[in-house]
Parts: sequence; structure tokens; C-alpha cells
Amino acid sequence: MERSLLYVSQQSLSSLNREQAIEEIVAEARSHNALRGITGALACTQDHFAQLLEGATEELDDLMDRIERDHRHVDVTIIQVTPILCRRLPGWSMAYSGPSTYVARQIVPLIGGTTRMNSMRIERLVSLLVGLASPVSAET
Amino acid sequence: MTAVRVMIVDDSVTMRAMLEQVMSADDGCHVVGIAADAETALRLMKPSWPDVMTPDVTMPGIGGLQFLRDIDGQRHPPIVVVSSTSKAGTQESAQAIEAGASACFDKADLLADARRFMRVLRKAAQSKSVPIRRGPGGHGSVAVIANAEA
Repeated sequence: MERSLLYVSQQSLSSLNREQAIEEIVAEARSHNALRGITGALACTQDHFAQLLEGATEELDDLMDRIERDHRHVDVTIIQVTPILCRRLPGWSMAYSGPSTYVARQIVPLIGGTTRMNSMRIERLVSLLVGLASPVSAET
Repeated sequence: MTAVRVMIVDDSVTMRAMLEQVMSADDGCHVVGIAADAETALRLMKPSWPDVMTPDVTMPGIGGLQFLRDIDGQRHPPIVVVSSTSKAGTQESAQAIEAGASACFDKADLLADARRFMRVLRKAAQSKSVPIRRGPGGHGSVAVIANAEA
């Protein structure tokens, strides 16, 4: 069975080469995910990553193990896991639309205080991540 | 109503998160421990003493069935096996019950049938801390409620 998984983590990137480091994360993710049949979307704020992933449970397990061991992520918190019949991000090994003040403004209030994230905030965050992948064509 | 205190035991981080999500959404349930393997579960069991434990059948190291056999005869919390191979009527389900599980629940039904899952946990928790003594026929003294509501 395939599942979608939403997680949030704090990022531990230096502000000096932050954009370059995120580009490296995205490139690594695209390469890894394409091989493992995982699709997903990434959004960043100044302090956090939010990522929506879709794939087989075993592949998501392996990927989450990698992410939890990745020094660029701190306090990785899985917010939601849902069985899916069809993917919302087909064709996207990792959608990322780059730094955006608009995106940050939308996402910051949704990510803050993840320990009490209610279902409405979770759905808004998922919709936003799916929406980020929609305006442009898939890149596989 | 007192919340049922549950320990999750699953090697899959995805499934641990999903189980925690289902349980945390229910006010009548409190997750008191999360273990990625049976060895950790055994270590955490005594200090946290949950009302019910939910091991998977298939785990690296000591699997769920071996876990059940290892604690056979000891005082331990009731166990509800949560696994993708524990559908009602399967051999794995029968083996889990024979090894001392109070009930089995199919992972595939977790979100779709979360309320039934919570009922199964509560029912199992009511048979608190009964030592399993398997007789010659293999069945323990705990009432078998496996798939009773399936």
C-alpha cells in the first residue's frame, strides 16, 4: 500500500550558503526519490523544512531514516501519514519552487508550534505543498 | 473515562507515526511509549507499564511472534498485534493468538476503521496484566477477542 507522509523539521543550515545547501538537498532528493519511486514536494522557511512524500511504506521508512540521520535536519517530526489510492504529486521526484517571501509568509504560521498542529492546519500545509508543485510542469 | 495507556512497537517509522496519529486523535488513548523493536519494548515495558502493547508481527531481531513467546508466562500488559499479515482467519493471526496475543488488527484498516481499532485496544486493556499460561491446547487464560469485531 502506498502512503503519503508529511513531516516538518528544523533546518540547521548556515545562513551564508543556505540557498546552495537547499539546492543540494533538492538535487539529492530528486535523484534518490526517482530511483525509489517516491514523489514529493518541499517548502522551506527561514527555520524549517516541510515536506510531503508519497510512496511505498518501506521506501518512506528508508527515506525517513536517512532524513533523521541528516545533520541538516533537526527535530524531525512526522505530522501525518495517510494511505493513498492515487498520488497528488505524480511526476515529481521532488517539487521545489525556490525561495519565496510569499511561500514563507503562507507557511510560517502553519509550521510554527508543530506539537499542537490541528487537522485544519495540516490540511492547509498539505494543500500548499501540493499547490507549489502545480503551477509548473513536472520534471522527472 | 481513564485513558488507555498504549505502547507502540513497530520497526517502521511510517507505521509508528501512523499509529501514534490514530491513537493521539482519541482522547481515550495515551501513548506512553514507542519502540522500534521488541528488545526496546521489553526494556521500556516495566518502567512505563502500559495498559496494552501493539507489536507488529514482522520486525527485525525478535519478531512479534517471538516477542510473544519470550514473555509467555511472565506478567505483561495485554497485547494487540497490529500487522499487515494479521487479517482475520490468517495463519499469522492464529499463531499470534496461540502465542498469547489478546487480539489482532490489520494495519490496512487502521485509518479507515480507527474507531474499531480503539475499541479493540480498550477491550484488550480490560484484561490487564494477566499472566498468559498456555495449556496443552495452546490457548492462554486471556479471553481471545481477536477479530471479534471484524
